[in-house]
Amino acid sequence: MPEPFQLSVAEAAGEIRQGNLSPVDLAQSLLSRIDALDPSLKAWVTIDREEVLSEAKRREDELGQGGPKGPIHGVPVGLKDIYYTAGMLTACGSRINADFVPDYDATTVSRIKEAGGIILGKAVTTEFAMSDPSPAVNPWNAAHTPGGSSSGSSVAVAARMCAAALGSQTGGSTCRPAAYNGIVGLKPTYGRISRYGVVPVSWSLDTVGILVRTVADAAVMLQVLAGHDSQDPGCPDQPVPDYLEEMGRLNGPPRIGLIREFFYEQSTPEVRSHTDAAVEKLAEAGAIIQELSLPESFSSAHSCQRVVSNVECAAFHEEAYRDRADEFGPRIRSSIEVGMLIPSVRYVQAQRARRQFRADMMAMVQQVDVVLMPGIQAPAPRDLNTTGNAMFQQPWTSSGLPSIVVPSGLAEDGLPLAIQLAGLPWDEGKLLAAAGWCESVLGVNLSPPDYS
Amino acid sequence: MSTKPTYDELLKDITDRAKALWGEAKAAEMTAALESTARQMVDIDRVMPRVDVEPGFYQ
Repeated sequence: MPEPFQLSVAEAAGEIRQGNLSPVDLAQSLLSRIDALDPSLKAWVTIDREEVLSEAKRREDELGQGGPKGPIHGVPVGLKDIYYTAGMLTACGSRINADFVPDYDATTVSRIKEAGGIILGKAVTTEFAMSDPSPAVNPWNAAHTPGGSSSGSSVAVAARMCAAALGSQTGGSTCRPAAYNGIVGLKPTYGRISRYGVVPVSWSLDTVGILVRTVADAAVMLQVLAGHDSQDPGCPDQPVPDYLEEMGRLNGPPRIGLIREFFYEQSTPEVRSHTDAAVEKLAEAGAIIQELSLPESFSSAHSCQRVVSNVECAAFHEEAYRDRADEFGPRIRSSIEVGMLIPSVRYVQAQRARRQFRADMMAMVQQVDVVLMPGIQAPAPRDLNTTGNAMFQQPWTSSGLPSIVVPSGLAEDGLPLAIQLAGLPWDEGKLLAAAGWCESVLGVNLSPPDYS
Repeated sequence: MSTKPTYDELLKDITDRAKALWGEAKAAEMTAALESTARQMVDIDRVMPRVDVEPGFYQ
């Protein structure tokens, strides 16, 4: 068996269930890994080692007293530092919330615990999950951004400091850092996972994101997290299928809609040729590739996302801004201020346009099993003062359709590249099945060389 | 003839709001962000929902 820290969620949970691995040994392995790597990667903000080891011991004891509690029994999970954790600092990468300790767990945190998981700690985030960069660096090259806003969660998973972490996506904050760090990032359908106890950026856009290293792990974590929560009005009572079973649902290679329009125009020549090579490989393995055109409403998608995000961000932070404006970073402060200026009619027009856009995108995706495009315009920028560009993710966040990025290889500069797939609302099963098929055909499993 | 507000009208509207809230100097500092926001609002007005889509928004 490899070192415990190298195991995926499914592998670790399997070894624990079979009695081959102790939850305490797994937790200890990850904590030692964090001790060794985090001084240079800066992915974590709060870790309570005693609590982690004590929970791991409790999980170990539970195994002998009735077996595993759930599918991730004994597996430590990281949390972006915007998730409420009872008794544990939730600072949101901000001075405003620097001392904030919630007195309850987010629904997602409760579900991880109910499934037998262990909260490993809080991963760094950009300030309030917006654009002011976090201290984390890219494990593939420390001079490059890891992306954001789920920076620490992505770096931690890529560098094998945990097998799974939660992020969030309001623009591109799960799938973009996943792509920059060479891991799998899943942004489910808007409302698929409860946001109760997750500090918001924008209520009508925010989506809980899953960061893992394999598509199967994305299915395992979605199984744990998905489902109705009456405490989140945006989390409806939609049936939750068995996602691992759904991954086997495809009877043969998928029908893939290739979207070159916009995504190729905005990509570097290297990304275009890389994506073409990946698509060719998928076609050779039997995928039916059909090129699709974007709907007319796509032209306003990014503007809708910006206007809605800024206005809702301003609404959430209004009180803090009035009292403590100087304590916000320059980018989030600018978003709040712009959001305060946008007339209410323009905000509602943006929401109306989003409704049309969602309908148009669904009509486009319905022609195939999934759509495919490059995951990022270019590898992670060599600039720690940016989190990169979210324009390839924003349309999927704005429309609420589920999307996933899967590593597809390395660029000439040695940094990861990825493909992005998207599907129909509530049909993550088919999206995961197609993504798993692509993952298997491409055969790319990335590990940062300095941290392997 | 379109009755949608123009880019210039939208920019003037939010610039006036910025001046009223924070003064001339701050509004001037925000010029790039205000221009970008006015462009976004013009973009949005190009897409209005069809009748088969709109009712759902209010349900």
